[in-house]
Amino acid sequence: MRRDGFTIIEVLIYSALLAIFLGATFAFISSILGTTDTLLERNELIANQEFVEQKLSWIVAGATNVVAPIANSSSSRLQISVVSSTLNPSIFTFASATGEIILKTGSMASASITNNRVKVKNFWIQNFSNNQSTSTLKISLSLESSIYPNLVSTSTFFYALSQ
Amino acid sequence: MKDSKLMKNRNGQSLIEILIGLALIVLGLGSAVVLVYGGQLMLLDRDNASTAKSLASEGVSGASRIVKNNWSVISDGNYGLVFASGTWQFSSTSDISLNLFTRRINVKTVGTNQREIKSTVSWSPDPLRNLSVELVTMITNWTVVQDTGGDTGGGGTTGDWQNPKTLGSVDLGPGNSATDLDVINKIVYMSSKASSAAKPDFFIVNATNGQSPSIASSLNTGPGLNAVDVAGNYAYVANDDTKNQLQIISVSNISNPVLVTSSTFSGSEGGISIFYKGNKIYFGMEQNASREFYVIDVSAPSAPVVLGSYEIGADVNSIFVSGDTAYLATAIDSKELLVLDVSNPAAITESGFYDISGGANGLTAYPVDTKLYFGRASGSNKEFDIFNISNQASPALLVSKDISVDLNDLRIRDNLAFLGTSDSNKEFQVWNISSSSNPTLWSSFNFSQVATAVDYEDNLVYVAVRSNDALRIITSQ
Repeated sequence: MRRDGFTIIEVLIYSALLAIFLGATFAFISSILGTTDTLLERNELIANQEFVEQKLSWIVAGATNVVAPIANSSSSRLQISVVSSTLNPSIFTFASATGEIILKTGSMASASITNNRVKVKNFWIQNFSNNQSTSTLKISLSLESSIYPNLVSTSTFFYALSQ
Repeated sequence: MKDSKLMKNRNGQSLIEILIGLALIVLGLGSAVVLVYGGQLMLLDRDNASTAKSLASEGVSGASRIVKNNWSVISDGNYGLVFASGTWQFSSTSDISLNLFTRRINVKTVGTNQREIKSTVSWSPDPLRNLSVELVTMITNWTVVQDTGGDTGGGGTTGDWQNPKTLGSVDLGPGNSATDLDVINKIVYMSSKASSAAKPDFFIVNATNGQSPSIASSLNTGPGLNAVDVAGNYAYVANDDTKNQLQIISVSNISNPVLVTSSTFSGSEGGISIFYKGNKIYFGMEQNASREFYVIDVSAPSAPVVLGSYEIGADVNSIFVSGDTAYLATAIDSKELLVLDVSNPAAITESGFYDISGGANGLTAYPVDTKLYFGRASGSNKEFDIFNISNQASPALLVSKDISVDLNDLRIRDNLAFLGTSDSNKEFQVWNISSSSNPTLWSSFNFSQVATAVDYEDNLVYVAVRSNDALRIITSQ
């Protein structure tokens, strides 16, 4: 009797090994693809957060006065008087319905400073007027991914206004 | 025979093949894990770096505000920050955020009115990786800068000050030697004494191009000038005459200085030192029968008003006013360093003094923070002194260094002292003052004549020389 093939046991063992290998491979590829998506969205969150921070720093650097929120109060709207006439006034508004932060500078048209891959969950400004002679702004920003709502980025920025 | 046939037909993998296959699988899976984990790690690092940058930026902003509003109270050192009751406050030597980031604020004095704020945020994602973000800013004590007419001295020292070189020089003409200078934004205002009263004694040098400074204009105010201090659009000069000792010159047009007014002080001796601060002139004279120290309101430069005076009984060779305190280098044998309270110019009082060993006159005084750098005439004493003036009423001598010649003027920047001396071979000297207890000579420069005055601006030192080659601009490059 010629035994050129595999025994049934061998076939079963090989099949099981192949199944385990293919399963693991699939799981890994799926995990890598999923992680890549998550990384991209997380990256988007950080990029949006940094962009908002840069816009705030840019406007606050030229600030002469904080119009809203008034001293020792808080609001989701930040209005600043700035030195540049083309940028004055500069207004950051939280559009909660669409999950955006809208910036309007001077007479220019309003524009969203966050993109549609993130949703702004919170944008809250506290204006501390204190014995340091000028205002200190505490700005809380919370963003979540539009695709993966469990991805959240929360940060707080402080600006001591040089007036 | 049957067994050998069976063996021949066993075509499955050998052990070595299986091992290689397994190794390849492990390698592939391992690479995938590293790839995925590495990507996540990179993103985490970026996230952390972004947060750290925000914390560092916040640190610079908060610390700058604290230091600006409490300039004299905050001393150099490391601090942590807390935001409480709507204000930033220093607390401890560092602070921790999000259980990961350690922030340390370093405050360092780099000039008379300038401080460096360094905000360092460090974190360790794992025990083998220590990461940090560092932001640095420079802040200026604007209240004082405003008081001194914008004479900040510019940026800190760079380059090789162990090998100073001449960048440019100016000749004020035959028989004219420089007595003092003041530099603001690369415009040099110089006082001089000439061999003839008919020659000009006030010069404005445009040193915008330091390699070829040129005289923009000159003015003859009398027999000669001993000192100059410039603030805003006016130069205040001490005239070496028995009358018109204080003169005020409009320099709003550097090509055409105009004498605005002259004031005569009783005693018939010359003015020798002058210092501007906050719309007031602090004026020192040679010993005379009247008084030698005056405080003059120059808020209206065309009509100066004497607010008060003080009897010194000797020459007032140099004046530096910090806050409400005037530091005088005098010719009094027992009070070479005299400290006056000038908070009320109408009632000036002595708040302290130091009787330095030997009787040689004090020639120059320059306070920085809690230290005062002092120069004296040559004698049996040592000429370069450093005092601790934390307690103004009782200056404490930290060290005296012997330079064996007159120390005519000095300026301090960072860890360096720039000295103008009468040493025939080392008229210009640079000292390393990192250690207040042991300053050391770093380098020197030989001029043709005595260095009478020194001013510093933006890593250049301007030296007034008692010779034709009256202005020397020294660089470290």
